[in-house]
Amino acid sequence: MTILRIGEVAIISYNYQEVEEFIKSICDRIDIRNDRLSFGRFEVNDQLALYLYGISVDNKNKSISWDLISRKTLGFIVIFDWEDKKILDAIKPIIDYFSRNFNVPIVIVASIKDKKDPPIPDKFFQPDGIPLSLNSRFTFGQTDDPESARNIMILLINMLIEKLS
Amino acid sequence: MEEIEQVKKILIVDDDTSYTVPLRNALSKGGYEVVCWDDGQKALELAKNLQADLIIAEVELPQISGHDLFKEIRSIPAYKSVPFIFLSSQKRVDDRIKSMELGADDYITKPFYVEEIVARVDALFGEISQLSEQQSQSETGFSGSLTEMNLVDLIQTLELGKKSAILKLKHNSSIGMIYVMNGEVIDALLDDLSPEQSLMRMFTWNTGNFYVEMTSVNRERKINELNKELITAGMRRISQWERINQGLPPLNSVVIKTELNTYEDLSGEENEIIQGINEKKKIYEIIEQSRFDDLKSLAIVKSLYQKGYIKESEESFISYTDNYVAQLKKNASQSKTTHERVASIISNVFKNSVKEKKLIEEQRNERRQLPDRRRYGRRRDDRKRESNQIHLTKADLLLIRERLS
Repeated sequence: MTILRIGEVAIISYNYQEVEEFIKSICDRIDIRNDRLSFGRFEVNDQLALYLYGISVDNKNKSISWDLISRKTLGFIVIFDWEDKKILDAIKPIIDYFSRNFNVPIVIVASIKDKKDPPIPDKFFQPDGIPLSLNSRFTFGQTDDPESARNIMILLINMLIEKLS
Repeated sequence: MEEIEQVKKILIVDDDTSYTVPLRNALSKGGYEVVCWDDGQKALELAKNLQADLIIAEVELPQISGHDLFKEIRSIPAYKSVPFIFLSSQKRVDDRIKSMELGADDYITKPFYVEEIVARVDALFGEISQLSEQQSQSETGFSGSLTEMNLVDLIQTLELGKKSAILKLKHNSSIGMIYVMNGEVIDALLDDLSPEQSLMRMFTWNTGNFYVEMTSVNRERKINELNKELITAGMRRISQWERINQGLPPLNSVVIKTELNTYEDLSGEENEIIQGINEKKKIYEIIEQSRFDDLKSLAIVKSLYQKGYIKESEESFISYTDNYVAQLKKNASQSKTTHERVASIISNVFKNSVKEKKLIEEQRNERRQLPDRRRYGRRRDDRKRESNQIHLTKADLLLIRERLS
């Protein structure tokens, strides 16, 4: 395997299960897992790959060095449980911090558990996301659904392409 | 007069009929006129007479390579900007990158689903028509965000060139018009306000969009003050507005009355405003519906907020949005309006609006100018912003997107 170009994406959530579900939906499996980080590899071909770093920001991970993580990150995908207001409140400062300090795209995902009976009509799964600022988009998504996870990732990639255009 | 849209012509150059036949059928069904050719050299001759709107070509062709065909076609003046899509069985990254670097609009690997190609072709034509619409708009005027350029800036710009134009400003759900003749503001329209009141309100709009249509204006002059006087009044108003606004939540925040229900301590004007807040209302709605001048209304709302008679709606963003969702389920046809409303609610929650970013940038600039800057050195924030960069090329990103789809 001779991968030459790597794009790194950080997946952030309060719930490590959500992070892992998302990575598995994109990469099929988790390559490395420890108590702070889950890692998955999405290989486009033998020269290009996306590395997904999943970080759950619960109490254990209070002292994460975002500066280091952000240095090579293409963008952030921040997932929160749509039903749980406490999680939204907790994740807000992190999103604010990313927006203020890192000039990279941020996709904010309101995670919905059961797609069969979504609380939101399908048209709210906006392919372009709802723009919140120049660098951030909001969308709904289902982390354990590969199609939904891929759409979220495509949204981030589209933002990057836009940035380069 | 309704414009008749011409059928788009697509030229497919590929010697493998197992791909061209289903592709031609699918594109024809999609409403396109399709011509297929199996030889690159002959296709080049054909292209000169066909005036195709799009060319789809295999990279490896007999006689002439797809890349050479691309270069030859693009050298014809009429084909300088005709979109070009490469097809290829090659999965090598280099090959794709070369195609993209040449300037192709897309690169599709075989085998492919014809539906996918039709969707991409539709999307490509959609982008082109959007672009040409924007270009035709920019020929007669210009548009932008009020955050970047407010009304004072716009008037000054038009005054400098002694231009005549109609300015259209959009802020929340309001749309205002300003007529400028030879660089002088002569009239303004907004709801049922007088021309002067309309203008004064629009001076305070620092979010939303503007569109300037450069056109001759023949209209009775209803604003007699000179631009200089208007701008001075406008600047003063902006400064007063911002001063009063400090300490208030964003103006599109929803507020409700608190449990305080004795209004004896309030002035008559405050009483009048609070009596009008019988249900949840956005702050700007209270101001717009008030019979007082906007500055006065804003000051009254601030006073009521500071005295604890009104507060931001306690319902969380989620439960509040849930109400909208319930509404949406009832009336699915309002997607655009509600989409914008949900976006505005979510924006408030995350508080990372462009305005706030601008403020942060201003604060950062102030810090940079501090005399003890040398002692503290550069802030980490400054460094971080500069360190982020995209390490992949556009071609890499297109490949990733293709693989994800």
